Amino acid sequence: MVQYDTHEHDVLVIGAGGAGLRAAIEASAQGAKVGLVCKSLLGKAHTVMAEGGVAAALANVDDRDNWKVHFADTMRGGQYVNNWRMAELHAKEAPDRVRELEAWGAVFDRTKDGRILQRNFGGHRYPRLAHVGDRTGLEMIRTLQDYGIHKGIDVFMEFTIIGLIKDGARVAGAFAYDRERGLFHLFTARAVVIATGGIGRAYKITSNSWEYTGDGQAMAYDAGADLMDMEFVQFHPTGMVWPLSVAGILVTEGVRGEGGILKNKDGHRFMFDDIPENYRQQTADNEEEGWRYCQGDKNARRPPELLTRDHVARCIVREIKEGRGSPHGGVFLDIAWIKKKIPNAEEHIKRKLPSMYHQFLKLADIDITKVPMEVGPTTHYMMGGIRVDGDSQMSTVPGLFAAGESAAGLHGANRLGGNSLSDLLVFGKRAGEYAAKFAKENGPVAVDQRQIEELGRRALAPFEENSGNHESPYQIQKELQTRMQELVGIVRREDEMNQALELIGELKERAKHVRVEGNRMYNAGWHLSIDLHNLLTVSEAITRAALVRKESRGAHFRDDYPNKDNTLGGFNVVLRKSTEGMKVSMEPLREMPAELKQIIEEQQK
Amino acid sequence: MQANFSVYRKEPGAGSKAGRSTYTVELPEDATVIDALLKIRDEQDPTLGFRGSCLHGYCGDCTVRINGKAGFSCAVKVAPLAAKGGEIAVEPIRNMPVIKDLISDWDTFLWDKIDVIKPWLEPNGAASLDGEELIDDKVMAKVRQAMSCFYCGLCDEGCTVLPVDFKFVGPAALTKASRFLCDPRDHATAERLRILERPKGMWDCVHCFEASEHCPREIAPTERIIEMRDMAFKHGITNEKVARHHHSFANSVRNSGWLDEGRLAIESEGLTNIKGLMKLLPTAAKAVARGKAPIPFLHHKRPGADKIARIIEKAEAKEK
Repeated sequence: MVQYDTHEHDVLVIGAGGAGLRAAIEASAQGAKVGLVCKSLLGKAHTVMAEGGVAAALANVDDRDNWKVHFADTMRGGQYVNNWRMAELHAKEAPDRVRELEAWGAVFDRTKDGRILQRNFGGHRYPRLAHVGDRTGLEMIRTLQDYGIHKGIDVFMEFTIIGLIKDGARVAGAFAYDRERGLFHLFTARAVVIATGGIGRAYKITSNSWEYTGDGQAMAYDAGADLMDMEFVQFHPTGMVWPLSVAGILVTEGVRGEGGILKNKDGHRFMFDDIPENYRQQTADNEEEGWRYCQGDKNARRPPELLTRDHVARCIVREIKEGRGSPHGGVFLDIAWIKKKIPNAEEHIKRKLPSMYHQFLKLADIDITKVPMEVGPTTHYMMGGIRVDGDSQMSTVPGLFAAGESAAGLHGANRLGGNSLSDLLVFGKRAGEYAAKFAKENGPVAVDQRQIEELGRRALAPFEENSGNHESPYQIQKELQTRMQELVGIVRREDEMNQALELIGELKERAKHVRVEGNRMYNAGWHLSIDLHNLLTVSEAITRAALVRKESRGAHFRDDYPNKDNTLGGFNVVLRKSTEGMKVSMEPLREMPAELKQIIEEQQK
Repeated sequence: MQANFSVYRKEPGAGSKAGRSTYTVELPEDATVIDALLKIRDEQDPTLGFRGSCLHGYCGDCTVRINGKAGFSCAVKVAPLAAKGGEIAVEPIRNMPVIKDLISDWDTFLWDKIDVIKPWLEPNGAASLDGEELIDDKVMAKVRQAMSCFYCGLCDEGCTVLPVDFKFVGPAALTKASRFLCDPRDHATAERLRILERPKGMWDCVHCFEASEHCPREIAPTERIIEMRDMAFKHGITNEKVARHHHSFANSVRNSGWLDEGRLAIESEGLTNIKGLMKLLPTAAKAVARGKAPIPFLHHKRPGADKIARIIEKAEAKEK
């Protein structure tokens, strides 16, 4: 018999980043008793690292902006495989969510007349990102956290979910362990919100920290929920490439928003060489115009450095592959050059990009106000995830909701910078609201003891492993990360991905023989051995989805199918658990209402 | 590069004894201390416990003591420490109970204390959903600086009161309180100050400035604590021993030109604080026996007291 403590809530929220906190606050405001579980300490979630800002069509800096433009930008960025309903709600509701955050205590940078200042970002037609220097995420998470304390939410820090518990078709809670003592906990709940973030740790070079092992996606999949769009993994074009120990760490797009330019080893500004047709009209064709855009000239078009992330990442890969990279295998990102354009450039850079300035000074001994940085693509964000209903954020499992990065739909094939913070707020709120509603409308859940026993047994297996050919969880994770990076990375090919599938199969077998040393108290090796199941599940999902999308779209680039295929553009790839393993299907997009179609057409002009 | 580490070890549980483990690791030249810890855990000793999330100085999760100096293990380079020879000592930060190895208990250390200071905005009504509030960027500079706190714990680590009195609310929580006190949109100033006035609150700080020295974000916790005490005086929230002490001190100098020590002792305790006054008795008796008792009703004005009073008046006028 597995021993455990029981905690009862109306709504259980898994993950305490922006989406989880916002969901918990909303569910609590609706009168639900809310439990919030997070893998590390409260406030250390990845939202805290978001630098650039939160996208909302407040139209404070450019009055031509409105929700329609934001909607069209998001759809174009996502190459039209987005869930259009989510893109619509997101564009409409983001401004309210941003103002609400200020009413709760946040303070964004101001315009001269005291309104919320907005900055330029890739793929956004007008300056749209409300920001706090380059510490926007910290401001958001701190505000939500403070406000959450006010609302009396039960927080369980350093708890990790092993799996969801179901009552028939419906979700009934989750089974967890606490990291400190290694004891088991049963959380029963009438509704569960997953807000666990991304999958970055399935790759070797990533901006994500150790927590991001696809837990939410994997537990939802195991519970029978659909995953969608898993082939769309965003590689952020600018991560640090040097020193090696910090390779992958993010360099905010804000650097380019403030006028930073990309150059190869010959000093050539290569982004002008390849501007995609559908963005040509909105992109500057000379350096002077690009600079004027960064200075706020409304008549100027944006520089090519601010094209969508997928495109910029591929251009950088091309430069590196063709031998024009920087000494440490990246390209140069130069913000210091603006001293030719403005007085006090050094002070300006330090004020606008304080975290970047300190990051490079501290980690790489480089003063970005004087010399260029070296950057290269890094695994950053999962556009796909748990398939949800656009309005309620409920997954295909009744009572199971998802929001933020762990949910699919808003971003389609490629996410625009700044749209993730607004995503957290808009859909975190919606998920919390509808989860509370579901909890109210549906009766109590019954818990099936067998499911608990099974999860408990699975979790403890690594302590009992004695087959003689045991494995280290770190070794398996390392192999998976290295091979996913090589075989299912920025540029993909059928034969390589088949190799990856084979490897994932082998690693799954080997993971059964993982052995951990020591006891259950604060044992990181044990924790990873439980995470491995999730890493392998999402890696398989990414690979299988990427194999069937035989075209290149957004963040998904196929060397063997380098062009877009209009037929495939009408489908999402959906993954579902079946008795024969992971089932892949192509499901047609829902028909977009005429008025939204019209908005997109108008905005293309 | 080869480096030797001596790492603090302790198993969870009250009865367990602390010790040290030594490790020798081969590292790249630019490695940081957390790179070394990760390598030790992944390759040599999977039971080693430590925290660390973002690995580049954003999250404040990996704070430890390295060779006796507190810092982020992700930001301290190994090479200069290894060059000195010998072992690099890695220990948990001070002033916090240890759960295991380098992992400290933040619940009692920070969270419980932050809960106390009412860590949320009580808007004065101007902010609303419909329109955004017009805010002057400059007015908010101080709030923004405080908001850049990422709970790394370094200020509390450096605090010289916490080792003596663990129940002191500490500079991190007081910085959080300051964030709301200097926010013009908040209307709960008096209520906040009354919370902070309680025992173990702002008056327990001894302004040693270690917190400000330790803060990696230049938030200046000590200066903020001094400011909130000034605020308390301005709001007339002074019913606390240290505040009464300040008051009595100033009044004495104002009225007589010098310090009336007897009155200071009595007024600091509070005239109605019988228990506190009783505690003064043995000292007073000893002083009387040695002929050194400062008797309040024998205290007289010193020559030039009027001039001193005028100086105080002028200074106060300037303050206003």
